[in-house]
Amino acid sequence: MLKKTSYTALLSIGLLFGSSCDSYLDLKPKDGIVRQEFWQTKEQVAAAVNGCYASLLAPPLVENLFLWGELRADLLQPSSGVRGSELNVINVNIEATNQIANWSALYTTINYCNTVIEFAPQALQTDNTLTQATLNAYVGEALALRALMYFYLTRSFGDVPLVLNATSSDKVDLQVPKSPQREVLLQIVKDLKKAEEGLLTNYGTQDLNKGRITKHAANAMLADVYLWLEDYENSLAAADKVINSGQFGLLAGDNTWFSTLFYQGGSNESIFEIYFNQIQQNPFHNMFAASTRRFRAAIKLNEEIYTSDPIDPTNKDIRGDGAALKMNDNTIWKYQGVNSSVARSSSESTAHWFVYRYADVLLMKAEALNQVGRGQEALNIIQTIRERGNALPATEKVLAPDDKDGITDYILDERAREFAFEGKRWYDLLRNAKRNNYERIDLLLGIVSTTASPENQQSAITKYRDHNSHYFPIFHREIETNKNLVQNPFYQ
Amino acid sequence: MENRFPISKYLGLVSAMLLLLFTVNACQDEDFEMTTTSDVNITEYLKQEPGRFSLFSKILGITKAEGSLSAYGTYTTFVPTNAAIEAYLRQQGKASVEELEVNELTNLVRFHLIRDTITTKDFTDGKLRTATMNGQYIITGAQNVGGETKLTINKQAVLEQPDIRVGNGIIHVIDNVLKPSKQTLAQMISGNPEFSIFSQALRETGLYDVLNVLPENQPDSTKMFNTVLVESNAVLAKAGINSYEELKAKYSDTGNPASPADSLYLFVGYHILPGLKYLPDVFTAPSHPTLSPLDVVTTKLVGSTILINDDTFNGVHEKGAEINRTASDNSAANGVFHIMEAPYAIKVRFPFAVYWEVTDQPEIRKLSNYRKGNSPKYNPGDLQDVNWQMGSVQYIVAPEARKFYVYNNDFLQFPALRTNVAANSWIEFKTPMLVKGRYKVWICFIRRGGGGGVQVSFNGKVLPKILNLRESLPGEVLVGSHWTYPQGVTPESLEALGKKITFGGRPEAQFAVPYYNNPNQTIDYYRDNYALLAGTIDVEKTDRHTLRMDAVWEGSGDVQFDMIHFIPENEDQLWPKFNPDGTIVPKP
Repeated sequence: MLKKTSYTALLSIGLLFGSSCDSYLDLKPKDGIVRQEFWQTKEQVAAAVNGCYASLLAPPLVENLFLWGELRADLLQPSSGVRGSELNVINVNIEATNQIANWSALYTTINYCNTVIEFAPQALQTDNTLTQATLNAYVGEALALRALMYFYLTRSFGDVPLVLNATSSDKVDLQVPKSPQREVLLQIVKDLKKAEEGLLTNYGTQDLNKGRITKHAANAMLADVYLWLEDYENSLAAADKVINSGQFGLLAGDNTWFSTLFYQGGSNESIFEIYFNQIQQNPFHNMFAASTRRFRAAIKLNEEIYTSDPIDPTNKDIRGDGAALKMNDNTIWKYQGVNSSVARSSSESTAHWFVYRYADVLLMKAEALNQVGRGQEALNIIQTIRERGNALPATEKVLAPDDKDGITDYILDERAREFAFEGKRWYDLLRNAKRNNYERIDLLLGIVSTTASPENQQSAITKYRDHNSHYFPIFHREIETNKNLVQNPFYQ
Repeated sequence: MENRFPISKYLGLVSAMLLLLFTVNACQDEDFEMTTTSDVNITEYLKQEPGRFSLFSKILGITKAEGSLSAYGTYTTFVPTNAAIEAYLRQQGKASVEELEVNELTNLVRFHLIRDTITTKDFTDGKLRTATMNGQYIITGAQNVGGETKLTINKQAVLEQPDIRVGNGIIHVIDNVLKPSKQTLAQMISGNPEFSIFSQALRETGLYDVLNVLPENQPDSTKMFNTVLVESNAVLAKAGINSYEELKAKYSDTGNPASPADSLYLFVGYHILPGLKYLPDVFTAPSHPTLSPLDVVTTKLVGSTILINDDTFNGVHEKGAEINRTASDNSAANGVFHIMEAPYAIKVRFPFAVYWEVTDQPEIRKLSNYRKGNSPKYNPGDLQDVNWQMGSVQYIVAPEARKFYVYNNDFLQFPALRTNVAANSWIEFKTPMLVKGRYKVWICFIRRGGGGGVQVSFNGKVLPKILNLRESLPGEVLVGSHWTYPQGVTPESLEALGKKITFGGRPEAQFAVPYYNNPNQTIDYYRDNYALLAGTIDVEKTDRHTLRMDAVWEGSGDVQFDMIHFIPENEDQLWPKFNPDGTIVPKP
C-alpha cells in the first residue's frame, strides 16, 4: 500500500517537472514581444514611430487640446450638453479634481516618444540596412512630437515635470518634480533643433507629408515656441525657413476653399495635421453636432469677429458663415461641414486636427515682425490673409506701422477669424497678454468679464489678476501619486 | 475487516493537535476594518493639527458642537486658525476663549457652519447657496493683493486653504474669525453720517421700524429680510437735494410722509426690496417688487455695471442709475444694503400703446439673417421670453411670409395649439414693459388650420373671450385694381365684432400695400390676416408681464402670430396700421 502510494507520487513529480522542461521557468510572454527582442530592424523602429502618431488619435488627447485651447477663450458658448467641469473652467472655478486638468493622455504619447528616442538607436547594430540618416529621421519625429506635447502642456499648466527617459524599468524615477515653464520651453527648442537636423522634408505622398512631422513642421513649431520665449529674431528665422521652402501656399479663397482645406484635409496650405479616420474618429460630432451638443459658437463671432454685410448678404468672410460656424444657429461647422451647406454624417466625423498651417506661420511671422519694429511688414501680411479670406470692411483697421498695441490687437482679431475652433485662441490671448511681464493683461480681463456667468464675473476678473490662475492645476491624482509634484500656488 | 486505525488509540493526540490549532489561531486576532471609511471627520481632523486649530477645537468643545461634527453629516465649516482666533480675542479684550460667554461662542460657531457641502467651485460673487446655522448668509468674493488672488469670505477673512474633504463634509481654513452682523438694516444705515438724509427719511416715513426688526422677532418669514438701495447725501445732491427738508419739499405731496399714500413714503419704499438680495441676486432677475406696492425696479448688468431702471419706454431709452459695486453687499442681521452711485425715483408715467412684434425676441434679433431668412427651429427653452409646451417653433420671413400681410414680412410659427396631450397646448409670452393702466389686447395673426379655441390669460387672469384663430373674414373684393372690404364690411363694423385689419388703409402711394400675386394691384383688406380682440387687461405694475394662450379646442394645424397690440382702452384702437414693408401707417 505504502509502496504503491510512493510510486504514484514519484511518477507525478517526474511528470510535472519533465513535461514543463525549461520553458516552465521562461518568463517571456508567449503573446507579445519583449523589448530585448524588439528594436532589431528598421521596420520595428518605423512601427514604433507609427505607434507614437497613433496614440494622438486615442481619446481624450485631441479633445483635451481643443478644450485647453478654447474653453477659457471667447469663441465658444456652452450648449445644452455642456458638462459641469467645463462650466467651472469657463467661470474660472477650477479645482484640482476637475477632469479637464488631467494631462495623462499627453504623457502617454510622451512615453512612447521617449521609448523611440532611447531604444531606436539599438537597431543600428542589428539591421545593416538602417542608415544613421534614416534613424535620425525617425528619432527626429519622436523628438518633435514629444516637443509638441510639452508645448501644449507648458502652455496649459505652466511648470510641468519634464520626463525625458522612457519608463522601461523599475529603476526609472517616476517621481519627477516640475520644471519651470522657461526651462520646459528651452528643452522644447533644443529637441526641435535636434529633430529638425534629422527630419525629412518629404515622405513621398501628400498625406504622409501632412500627417507626419517634416522638417518644415518642426520649424513651424519653433517659430511658435520662440514667440512664447519672446525671442522674435529666432521666431522670424524659423518662420522664414518654412516660407522660403516654397512647399506651401495659401489656398485660393474661392468656394472650394473650405472643402479642400478642412473636409479633404492634407492640402497645400497644411503643415501638420492629426489624421482621424473611419476607425478612429474625432470627438467633435458629439461635441458640436449631436442634439446633446456641448458647445455652440459664441454670438460674438457673428457680431464682432466676422460680421455681415448689411447690403449684400452674399458678400461674406469665407472663414465665417459656412466655414467656422453656421450663423443661423451658431453651430460650430469647421469639423462638421462637407462644404458650406452639407453636413457630415455622424459616422463620418473624421475631420483632421489642424496643428499648423501656412496661414498660421504667416501670422506668427507678423507677430514677430511687429515686436521687432517692422510693423508695416506685419500689416502687409495681415492684408494678405484678409484678402484671401474676403474679410469684410467692418473688421478692417487702419493703423500706423509703429502702433505696436494696435497691430497686436489686429493680429489677434485676424487669428480669431482664421483659426476659430482650431484650439489656438486661448494660447494666442495668453501669449500676447503675458508679453513684457503681463503688459496686456487687459486682453484676458476683458474677455473673462464677458464669458464668465454674471454671478461669477467679479471673482473671475479678480482671479485672472493672479497670473498663476492662467494655468490649470495639477490633477489631484497626479499629486497623490507623485510626492515630488508641487501644486500651482493659485490652487493650494 | 480489522480496524487498522482505532480512533481511541489516537484520540488524545488528535485532540491535542486540534486544541493547538485553535489556540494558535485564536492568538492571531484578525484585524477587521470596523468602519466604512478611514476618513477622519471634522472634529478629528482639527485635533490632528493642534498647531493650527487647537483654539477652534477648544471652542467646539465648549459649545458642545464637537459631538455632532464628529458624527455622520454633510457640513461645510469655515475654520479660523489659531492666529485668527487670538486676534479676535485681543479685539474683544479677552485673554482666552474660556472668558467668552458660551452663548456668544455658540452663535459664533453657528456662523462658521453650514449644513451643506459647498466647495470653492460653488462660490460666486454673492451669497453661498445655503445659510449658515446662525441664519445669516455668508458671501464670497475675491481680492488681489500684490498679484496674488485669494478668495474672500464675508469680506472679513481670506481663504487660506480651501476644500479639505473630510468624512462628514468640507473644511475651509480662514485667516480671520467671521462675525455675524448684529445690527439691523435701520441701525446700520442710520449709523453712517453719509446717509443722514436717507435715514431721516426712513424715520419720518416710519419705514425705519420696518427695517429695525431682527429676524427672530419677525413672525412672518416673508418679511424677515429686506434689501435697501441707499442713496447717500452725495448722491441725493446730484438730484439737487441737499437736506431732508428739500427731499420732503420735493416729494411729500400730502405733508404726512408716514402715510403710505404719500409720495415721500413711496419714494423711500421704492428703495426697499423685500427679500435678501445680494448683487448677483439683484441683476439676475430682471425686475423686483418694492415696498412701493405698485412699482417695480428693473435691473440690468451691462458689462460689469449694474443699472437700476435702465429701460426703453415708448421707443425712448432712459438711462439707468448705477449701483456702486465695491461699496455694496453690506450685510445686516435682517438684510443687505447696497449703495447707489446715482439717484433714481419713481417716474410718473401714463399708459401708452405698445405695438409689439412677437418676433422681436433677443435670440431672433441676433440672427445674422434677421428679416432676411428663416431661423433654425427652436425647442422649448431656446427662447428666453417665449415658452411653449412642446414641438418646434420657427421664425419665418419672406418669401414664405409674402402671401400674408404681416408687419416686416415676418411671423412666428407654432406647430399646434390644441388640447391633445401629445401636442402643444399652450404658449406663454413675456410682454414688453407695460406702464400700469388698462389696455385692450389685440392678437394679430394669420389664419391657419390650428387654434380653433384659444383662451388668453394675463398674469394668470383669464380673459373672457375664447378666440377662434381658424375663422376667415368675408372675402376681399377687387375694385378697379384695389382689393378691399366687401360690401357691408367696414373697419368700424369689424371693430364692433372685436376684429380689425392691421395693414394698409390709406390711399397715398407710400402707404399702399401691393397685392401678393399681382404687384400692379393693391390691397387693404385680406380675409386671413387680421387681429382679434382678446379683452381688456388691468396692468397693476409697470413691468413686463406674462401673456398666456391655452388651447380649449382639439384639431390639427399650426398657428402663426405677427403682433400683439396693447392699446390703452380709451385710445383709438384701429390706428396706426403696420405694413409688410415696415412702414407704419398713421391715422389720416
